[in-house]
Amino acid sequence: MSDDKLKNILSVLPDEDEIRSRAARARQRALARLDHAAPVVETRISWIPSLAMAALVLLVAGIVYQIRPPASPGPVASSSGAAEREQERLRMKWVLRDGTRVLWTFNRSSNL
Amino acid sequence: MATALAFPAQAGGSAAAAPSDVILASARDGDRDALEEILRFIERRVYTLALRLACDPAAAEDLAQEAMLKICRFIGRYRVGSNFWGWVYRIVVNQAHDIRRAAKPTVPELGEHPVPPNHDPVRKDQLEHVMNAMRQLTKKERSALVLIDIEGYTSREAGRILRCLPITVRTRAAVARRKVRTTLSRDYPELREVL
Repeated sequence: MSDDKLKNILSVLPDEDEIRSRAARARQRALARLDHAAPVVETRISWIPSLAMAALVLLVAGIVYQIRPPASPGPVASSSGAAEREQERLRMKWVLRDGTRVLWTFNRSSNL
Repeated sequence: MATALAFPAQAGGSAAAAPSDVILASARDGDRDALEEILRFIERRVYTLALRLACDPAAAEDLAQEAMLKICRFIGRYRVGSNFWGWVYRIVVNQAHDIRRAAKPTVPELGEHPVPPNHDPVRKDQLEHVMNAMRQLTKKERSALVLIDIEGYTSREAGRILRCLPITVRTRAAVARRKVRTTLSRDYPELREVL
């Protein structure tokens, strides 16, 4: 019961004319600011993530380009070998003691 | 000692009417007229909520302005068919929590009509008593009390708006209710019976 009284007291509002007047003015100002600021804000908001994403992609690409996969240890029997790195994959040529030539090609995931 | 005017709680909470989905969809697509229609539809409730959160008519006007500006900018994020008023109230409440940290907004001069004076002295007194009592609350206590006791939201709905557990909202509202009752009972003796 007392809670209801408290709610009634708390629910008091100014005159309807004042509410209507202030609410309308707030709306008009909000719309005026939207008209002035919206294009600038939207442009800024849309470009910041794009630039950040582009920089991140370039950074990741640079790191991947610099760090190449380690050379495989290869068979113990091999006495000599030559590794040839290419842009997209790793190619290794082996010449065994018996003269057999072995050619291994790895993709970027280091799969043979 | 003051005599309390009775103000029945308005139809609030999730049961309140929302703009039509067609209007909302048009506003999301960038229709300026639809956007303005939505603002006209919500402006009274946004301002009254802002007044209860800011406890000052001029500050409430600034708060309502900022909140409506955000509603315009973020209308594209509103999912048509979801709880419209919950979305609006969350923006207003968040703005009320943020506005003290932000600089006062730049307001374009529009040359509108002045605010009419309040002609009802009893109502004016009661409003002043309530605003003074509400100013003593923390912003979280005030938000919980306003949403549950005045706007008619359940603690669950209020928890969604305030992004906290229902029991947290209930606790904050109870603390706020006790503080406000203590303050208001000086002017409204009928509130003393359960103290």
